[in-house]
Amino acid sequence: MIDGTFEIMGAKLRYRRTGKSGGKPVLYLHSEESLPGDTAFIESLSRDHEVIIPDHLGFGESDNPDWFRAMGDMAYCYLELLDHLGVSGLNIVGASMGGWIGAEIAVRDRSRLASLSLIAPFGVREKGQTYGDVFLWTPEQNIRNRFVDQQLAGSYLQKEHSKEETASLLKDRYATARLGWAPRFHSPELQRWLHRIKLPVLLIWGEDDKIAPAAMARSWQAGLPNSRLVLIPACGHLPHMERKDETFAAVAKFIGEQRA
Amino acid sequence: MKFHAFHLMPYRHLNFEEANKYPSYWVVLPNKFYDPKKGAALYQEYIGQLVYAAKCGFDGICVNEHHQNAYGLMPAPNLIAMSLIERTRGMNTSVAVLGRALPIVNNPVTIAEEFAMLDNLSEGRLIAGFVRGIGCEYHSSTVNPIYSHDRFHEAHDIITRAWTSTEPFDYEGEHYNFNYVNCWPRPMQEPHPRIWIPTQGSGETIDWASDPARKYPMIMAFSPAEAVVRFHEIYKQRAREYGYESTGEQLGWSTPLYVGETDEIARREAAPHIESLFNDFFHIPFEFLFPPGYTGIPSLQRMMEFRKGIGTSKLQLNDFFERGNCIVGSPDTVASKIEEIHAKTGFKIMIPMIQFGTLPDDLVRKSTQMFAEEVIPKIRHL
Repeated sequence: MIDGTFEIMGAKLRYRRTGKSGGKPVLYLHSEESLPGDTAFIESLSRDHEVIIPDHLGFGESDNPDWFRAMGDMAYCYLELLDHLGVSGLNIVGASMGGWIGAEIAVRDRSRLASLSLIAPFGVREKGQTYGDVFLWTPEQNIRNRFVDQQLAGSYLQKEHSKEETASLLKDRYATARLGWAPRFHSPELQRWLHRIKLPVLLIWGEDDKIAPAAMARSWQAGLPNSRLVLIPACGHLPHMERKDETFAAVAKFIGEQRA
Repeated sequence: MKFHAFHLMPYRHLNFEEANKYPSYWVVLPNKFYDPKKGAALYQEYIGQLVYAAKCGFDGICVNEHHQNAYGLMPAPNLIAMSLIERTRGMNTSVAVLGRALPIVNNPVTIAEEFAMLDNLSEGRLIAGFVRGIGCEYHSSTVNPIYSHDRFHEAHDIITRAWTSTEPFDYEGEHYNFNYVNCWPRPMQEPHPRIWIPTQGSGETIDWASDPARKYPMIMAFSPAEAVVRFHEIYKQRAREYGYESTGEQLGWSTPLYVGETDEIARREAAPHIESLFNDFFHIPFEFLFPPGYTGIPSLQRMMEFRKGIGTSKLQLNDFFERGNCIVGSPDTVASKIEEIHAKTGFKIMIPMIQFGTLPDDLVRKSTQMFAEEVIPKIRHL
């Protein structure tokens, strides 16, 4: 595990590098909440891939600079980071907010990218479908509505957070609002230009997603030139946590098919 | 001391049993619970109460803005203000809009224009309140609460400049951009309508309002008496740090207030209605009230800690009374309570909320008249 810091326009972007050196490179873009449960998924990814795991701008240990206004700032930060790292043939794996960010990167510049695996991504809205109002829900509703498996939800609810952990969760929540308050969790511009993402895209969705209904996938598939959808039954908004093995298997197979 | 009667205009005919099945009377309470026949009558009742207060001798009458809720039926407070202006024509009564929620509009120039019109139409009797709106309003307007403070400050700058500039100007901001700001009509008052800042006492607001460039009166709203004293003191301290002494005219207190013949009568008559205000109308879940960005993270965490201590059980009049959330009593009791706080802070703007919760018309008028006739004369000199 290597910790790195990339400085851009006075702001520090934190990232970790882990995994198998020489494996196909993966950029893992986390979802809007820092639930600890995605470590198992990351470990699986790391077995065969070289994985870069950043904290998004405004999230986690990355800075939240004054100039950070919108999704474009986020995407350009990452494009600068990729230039700085000099990686190519990169496979993006992103969940929820991270999936949205991945698409915003790819729609601008796909020259360093090989594929996108988007897990219940925000970013695109199917007419008539609404995103769950995570900002109006109580903390308990927020956890319960993310999972079909209420035992798993219960295990997250039992966790007590220290003052520092709460501050960190709030920082993520504030950054999520900055990017996705309105229009809620989608960008009409991204949706118009999805056809620019001329890369293989894997969409993975829980069939019972209460935050980003699986029907949103229709609009993604209508816009993307090359996409494939995997639906996971009895699964909520976080398939990489709730149905980790199936989700990982689908992602690993998909990345395996891409040319190095 | 000056006395201004304040009204929220709640929908007091609500079916509370049904409404309490929803998480809040804000944002998500279906408007099927609003009966336009009853509501239309309520508007007349409430406007009549404020006009009555003016005729009883209050110095001003006040309305405010809230959206998509049963707690306050004035999404467009200027409409009510205009009715009040017309019905107090020829009187000296100030008409205060406390206030317009600046950040939730996308064109703040319209606020400058409408207030300028009201100032002309009232021949200089307008008091313009500026607020950010409560958290719920960001849910219902979809304006991003992350930019609440920034938009408030920009909108304020645009409005005050629109009022004082005599040439068209352009405005370049982060959130608002205009090629031409050219306010027709210009306001009547010089240099512009009086501006008041109602607040719950956030440090940022106190710093901003007390700044020598502004010296705006700060109106403490819905806070326990002890908090009113504390925040008035902070305002005075900030003023000293800025290098000047603030005056009592810069400090206000708005609170539900009820006067009865005796303490016992007053408490008995007010109790169910105070309880409906705080327990029902003002029941707002944390997530509704504090969307991300509405307050900074450290102050949000302080409030989360604070709220941990509060049980879910409903409070009774005595609790609100002891916490100083309202003033209820005989004329002597009410006068001495106001005197007590005045002795501590020197505040000179007293804003009784003459109607609250389900308080019916006859009691509102009785209390309002008693306040005007038996309380104001005792404390007018303060």
